[in-house]
Amino acid sequence: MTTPLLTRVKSTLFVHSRRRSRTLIEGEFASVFHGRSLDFDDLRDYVPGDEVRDIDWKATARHSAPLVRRYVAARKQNLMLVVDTGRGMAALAKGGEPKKEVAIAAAGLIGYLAYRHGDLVGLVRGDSSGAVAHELRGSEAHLERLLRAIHDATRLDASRSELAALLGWVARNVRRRMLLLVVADDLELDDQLAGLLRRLQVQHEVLWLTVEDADPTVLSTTRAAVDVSDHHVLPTSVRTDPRVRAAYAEAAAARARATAAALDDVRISHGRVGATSDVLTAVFGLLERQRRAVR
Amino acid sequence: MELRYPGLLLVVGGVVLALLTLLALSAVRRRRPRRAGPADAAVANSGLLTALPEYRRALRHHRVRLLLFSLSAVLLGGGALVGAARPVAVDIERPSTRNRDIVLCLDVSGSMAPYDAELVRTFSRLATQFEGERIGLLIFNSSAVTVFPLTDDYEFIRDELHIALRSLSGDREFEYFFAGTFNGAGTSLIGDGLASCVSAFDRVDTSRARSVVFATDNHVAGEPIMDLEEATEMAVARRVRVYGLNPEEWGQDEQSITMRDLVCSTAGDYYVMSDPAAVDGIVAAVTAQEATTIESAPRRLVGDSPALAIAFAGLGLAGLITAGRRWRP
Repeated sequence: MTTPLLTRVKSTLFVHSRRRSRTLIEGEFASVFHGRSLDFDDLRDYVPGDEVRDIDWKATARHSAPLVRRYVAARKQNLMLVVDTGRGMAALAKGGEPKKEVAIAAAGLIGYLAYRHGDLVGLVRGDSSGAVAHELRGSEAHLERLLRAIHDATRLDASRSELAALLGWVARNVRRRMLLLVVADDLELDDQLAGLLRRLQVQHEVLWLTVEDADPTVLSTTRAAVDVSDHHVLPTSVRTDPRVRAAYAEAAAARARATAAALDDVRISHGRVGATSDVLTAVFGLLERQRRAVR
Repeated sequence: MELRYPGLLLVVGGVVLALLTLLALSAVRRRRPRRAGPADAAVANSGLLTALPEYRRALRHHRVRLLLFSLSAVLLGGGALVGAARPVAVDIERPSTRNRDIVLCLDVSGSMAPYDAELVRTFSRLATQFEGERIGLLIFNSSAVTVFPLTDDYEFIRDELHIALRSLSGDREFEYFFAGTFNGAGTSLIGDGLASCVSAFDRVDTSRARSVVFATDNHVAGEPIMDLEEATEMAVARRVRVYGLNPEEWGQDEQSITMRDLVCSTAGDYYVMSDPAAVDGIVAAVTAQEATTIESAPRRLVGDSPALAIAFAGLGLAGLITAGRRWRP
């Protein structure tokens, strides 16, 4: 546990991707933020993911390769990680590791991108017992502290997950316009949540990342499947019944579709991720969707 | 229904019961909200799964199966335990034989020699017609010899009568058959013979139906210790009925009339050997008498009766197999 959580985040970025895709995702992130000012900084080579409209066509004409303009960001942007740290997030993700690992990897990656971009990163975390806010800062050590806070708060003996309360707190207490990254699990998006999200989308810019739940019907038969919310044990022979499995797959797909539809409805970009190994792809896709949605 | 080893049932049953109670207690404790431990797979939002009608149906089946499984286990365990304690059926039996005693009394004197084989055949027929009665055979000439005492072993009786038949038919191999019949003064001591036959009954103190089938021609040649009249009195005194069977070689003579009168005085009957009704008459007369029960000491008969325990255990086993089949699909 002594390995800094951020190191793992970085390793996803550095090890699992080539340098080109790293700049690619950084480009994606920069585009998501409207971090442009009128102060021209310099020109650099175009990398895929850069905004086409940032291409300096005149300079490109003089040069053999496309060049893009870089501007000095006029102000620091704010990224607020909104992470559910109830015990629901300590349960297993689709990939087999606890969902909080996936959440930390995803939040860490976006946080790190923001940090690299020179933005401030904050955190609001919470469960049914209340919300805790961490201040906005722009340092690696601070990001590490935030990830560590998520890691430590999300335990099986923590309070229940309650995303509505967390989002309500954000809506009431976060005044400045920010980019909100909501990391939640596969929950039912009810009207209350949809209303909150609609309000938050007006106040801020919201990204939604769903950490996919483990499928109880395919979990190992040698382990007892216990629901973390009420400690209810799902009998092994019942949950692994082929008919139950088929019905669950259908129901889970329907829920995912409903969640997607509800998020689309409030114009929030959303993504799904089931394992830490898929975080990079998922985040890239999410940023890509957000970039397209904003334009 | 009793148990041979009730202690086993108590001890093992008690231990099993205690173990089951402990198990149940720990199960109840575990049923209380428990946090997912490191060995468990913690899942969230399982409401989606548990709300499925397929899940509810599977859960119902699972519970029915569990119930069947536990009931079968209890049945098998209980059956095995009771079976191990050896259930026994205890019967108090007073073995009793209701029968009559019949002594066949055969005169093997020279005057009877031509008829004895025929008489033994008659005795054989008689013996096959009785059932459960005790039969004995005495032969006499100048003294009486017991060929076999009163017995209800009919196989033995048949064999002995067969030997008698062969020896009386003149088979030299069985000459010993007549040994001991010439120890008296003279031959054909009819009265002594009857007296010996009347004395051949056992259990003289009990009142039983006793009969003597007395085959003789009543031709005395010698000095008997008791004459026929005295022997008859003895029979009357001991309530023994004497059924006379006379070849009547020379037709009705003085001796045969005397004999008829005397045997009739014992409440018995008199038949001529050639009379085809003789055998049936004797059988009817003997069986008409009331049979008396001989009672032995009461006996406690203890026999294993594991059928019920085995049946229940088998039922439990069948249930276990049924419930255990496709336990993990």
